[in-house]
Amino acid sequence: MAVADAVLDHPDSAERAKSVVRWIPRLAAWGVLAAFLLVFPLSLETFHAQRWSLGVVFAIAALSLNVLIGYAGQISLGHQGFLGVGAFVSAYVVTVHQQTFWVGLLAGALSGAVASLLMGVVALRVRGLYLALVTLAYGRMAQETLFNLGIFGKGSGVEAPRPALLLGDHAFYYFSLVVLAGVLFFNWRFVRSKAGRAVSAVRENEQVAASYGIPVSRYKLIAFVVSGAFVGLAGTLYAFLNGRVDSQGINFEMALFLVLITVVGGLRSPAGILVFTALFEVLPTYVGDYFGIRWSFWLLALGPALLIITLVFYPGGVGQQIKPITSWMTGGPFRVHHGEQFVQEGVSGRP
Amino acid sequence: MAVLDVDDISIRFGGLQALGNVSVKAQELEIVGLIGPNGAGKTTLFNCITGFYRPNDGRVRFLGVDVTEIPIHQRAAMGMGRTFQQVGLVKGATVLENLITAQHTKVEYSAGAGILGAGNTWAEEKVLRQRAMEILDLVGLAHLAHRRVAGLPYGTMKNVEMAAVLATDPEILMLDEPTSGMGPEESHTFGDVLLRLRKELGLTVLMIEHHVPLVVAVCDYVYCLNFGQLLTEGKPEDVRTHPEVVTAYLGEEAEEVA
Amino acid sequence: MQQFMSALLLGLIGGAPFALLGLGLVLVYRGSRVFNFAQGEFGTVSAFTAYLLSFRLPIGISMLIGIGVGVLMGLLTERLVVQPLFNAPKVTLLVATAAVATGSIALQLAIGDAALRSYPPLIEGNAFEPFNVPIRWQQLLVVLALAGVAIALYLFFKTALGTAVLAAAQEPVATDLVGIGTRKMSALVWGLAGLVGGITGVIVAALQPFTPGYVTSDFLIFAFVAAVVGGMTSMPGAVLGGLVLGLVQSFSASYLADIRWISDNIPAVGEVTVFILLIAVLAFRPTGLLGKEA
Ligand SMILES: Nc1ncnc2c1ncn2[C@@H]1O[C@H](COP(=O)(O)OP(=O)(O)O)[C@@H](O)[C@H]1O
Ligand SMILES: [Mg+2]
Repeated sequence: MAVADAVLDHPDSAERAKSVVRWIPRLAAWGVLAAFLLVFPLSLETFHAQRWSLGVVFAIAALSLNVLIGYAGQISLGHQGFLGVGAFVSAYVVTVHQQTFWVGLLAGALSGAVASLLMGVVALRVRGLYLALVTLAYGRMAQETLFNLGIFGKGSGVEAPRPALLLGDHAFYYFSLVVLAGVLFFNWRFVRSKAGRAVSAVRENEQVAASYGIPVSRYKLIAFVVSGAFVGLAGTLYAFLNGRVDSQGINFEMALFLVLITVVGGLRSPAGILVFTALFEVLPTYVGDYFGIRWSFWLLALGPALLIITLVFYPGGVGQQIKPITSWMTGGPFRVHHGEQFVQEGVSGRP
Repeated sequence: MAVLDVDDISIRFGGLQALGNVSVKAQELEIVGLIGPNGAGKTTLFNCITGFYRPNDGRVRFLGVDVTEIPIHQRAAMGMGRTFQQVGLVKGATVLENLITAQHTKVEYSAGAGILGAGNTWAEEKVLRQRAMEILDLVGLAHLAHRRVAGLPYGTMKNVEMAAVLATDPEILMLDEPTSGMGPEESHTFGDVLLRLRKELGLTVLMIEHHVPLVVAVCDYVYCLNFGQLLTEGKPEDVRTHPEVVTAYLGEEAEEVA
Repeated sequence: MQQFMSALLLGLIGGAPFALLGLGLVLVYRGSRVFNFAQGEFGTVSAFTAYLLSFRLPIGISMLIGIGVGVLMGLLTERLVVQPLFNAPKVTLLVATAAVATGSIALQLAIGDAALRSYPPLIEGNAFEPFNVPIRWQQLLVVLALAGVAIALYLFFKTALGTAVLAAAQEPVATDLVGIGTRKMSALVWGLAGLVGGITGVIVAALQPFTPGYVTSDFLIFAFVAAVVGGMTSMPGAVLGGLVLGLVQSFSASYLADIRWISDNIPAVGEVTVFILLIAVLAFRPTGLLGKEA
């Protein structure tokens, strides 16, 4: 499912959209989903509203990682390091340079893109397993050194005060949703336009891509930039959600958590990634509430097991499993054996 | 002026002289054949022409421009279209997606504008899709537009690959064993398609081909390579009956038997 | 002089755990062509087991059983993760081994908790104090273990079986010559990796109090860098790389941190040097010091 099957409509798209009647149940389903995402959170108290926001933040970060692993076939085990760059730079710009939150948001996206671009330059020379290692080492270096630099408070972190408009945790949740919607839009346009197609072609076969006139290196870098901008936005939200940012939580566990929700959610399947992130980030909170903290540890152990099971048995992830539903929701038929099998490509895209 | 002018190309891999002083020309609207036993260096010559390999010696001129030093994608953008011996397609994508991807250099909006969903990108996407369908119609593959490449038979993939290269809007079409995996019937049809494409699209063709009847039927001129050297060149009939060509091919058959 | 000698000594001793862990990484890389991110956890799980048993059993026996658990974990990883993903891209397999590592850390958290644990060193106190650098017996034990494991592996790979193991990744045919299938060979490699990892774990865990994931978080990245510096395919290279890395760390801690501007502005400068070293080696000398192929 290379250029994502979203790239082109299903063959019967022409007949499909015509009938208004068949859209009624679908619209109802969309309505229920919207109510759940928009109305239900109003009833949440602070702690849970923040957890939901965090879920949205991780969903954005996972969509970012999906651009790299899923579309570009480049591995990153240091993605938290780019999230951190966005978080620290946006907080720094707002706190130290007295800029508005909106400038901070822009700075977060830009700095994430630049940091990721630098890694992209490395990725032009260093590939596969070795790139995994470099990104891992980058993440650690970022946590130990970069995020403890003098400008970032020498280890004590940086304040990230929310603007008045977003002071409330519910307001912040809705704002995060807006950012997520933006990222989904750009992701959609990316996949359905020149850049996304070129990146996918490069992933599958660099030589063929070049013979189509695609500058291979440039499109690898473009993938890193897009991914970096997305995760920079996630980083900004992360910082301002907490009100401050320090290097503590931005660690390798976060990197693996991001890989986990991306891969289990389903490479090249934004819908699957969103669904699984919601399940895996928000659900443990409630499990912790009702059954005690030790159960969250067990859930923590369940995650990697899910990852391995996905890699071995369901390389399409949750996205593949919910295909009948997503197809139906977008106006297609509800078919259990929808389309062809996920092409087994693994995480890297190329052996 | 020749569309393609390969001048005195040599390339070595370690101790192996894969090509030695090979010169090949293709004039506008010509269909030029390149034959020779396995391992003769035909694919290597393609790789030198298209920029996948840097020759140690010699120049490649394309449309009057010396392209010896420029990267693959720029040559492609100038109008060099090639297929690969082992089918070069984005196999996880559908046929139509491949043809749209192949139009990369024809897309008018920038990568950034596409991602932002700005201005003319939406309309342009429709045009790309339409053009892809037209080409599929032209080669008679429209019914496969939404099929994933990975599941198609080998011979069909070869045809799809050629369609994708046509979508790049090439000046020269370079085909590496286009009829491998096809039966005699199919390869005969393929010859007709090729002749028609030349007429309708004004193409120049350079084709590596083993199938002698096809070569004789469609080629205007033929080069024969052996052990990296040009053995002979000329009209198809003359090359086919050339005594050294006959022994070169016989030698290969003898080896295969052994 | 004093500063130089102490950096040298500390570097060589500090590099020993990297070299030990790196040996396991090279072993797996040569046998399965994958980076084993679980290698560190083969160690922590062994240490964790030894720690739990040490309340009822003598520490020596606890450690032996701990190492056995390391072997078991290596074999299980092979069976449950490596075999099923045999034909998958190697990066997929890498991600899977990373999942094994985090899963194991989560289990340690669920069974125990995040608290620091320590068990008594096998030999108490300092061995000697050359140039006023106190060297603990326990640190020497790591060096001894390194020497022992290195020699044992060297001897093992002299045997027909050992040669076949290393050839297996390149030419499956070679394994048939000694009458052992590729599958058993792979199990052997991972069992050995578990053994080396287990030994690493129980020995380095006595250096200082440890938490779940200790070997992974404190040593794994450096061991990888060591193995890459050594060439990734070479066992002597891993040992050499480990020592080089120890030296790079101790010298940058000692000399770079002496430079005022650096100590003021660049926290954990050793991390930066290691990162730069890794990128430099990969970009300019991908075969490392002793590797034979990229
Ligand atoms: N990248 C390469 N490295 C080393 N040898 C090569 C390479 N590419 C081609 N060769 C060698 O060059 C010779 C010609 O190969 P090729 O051009 O593929 O032959 P043909 O296409 O005529 O069958 C063969 O001996 C082949 O092994
Ligand atoms: Mg060939």
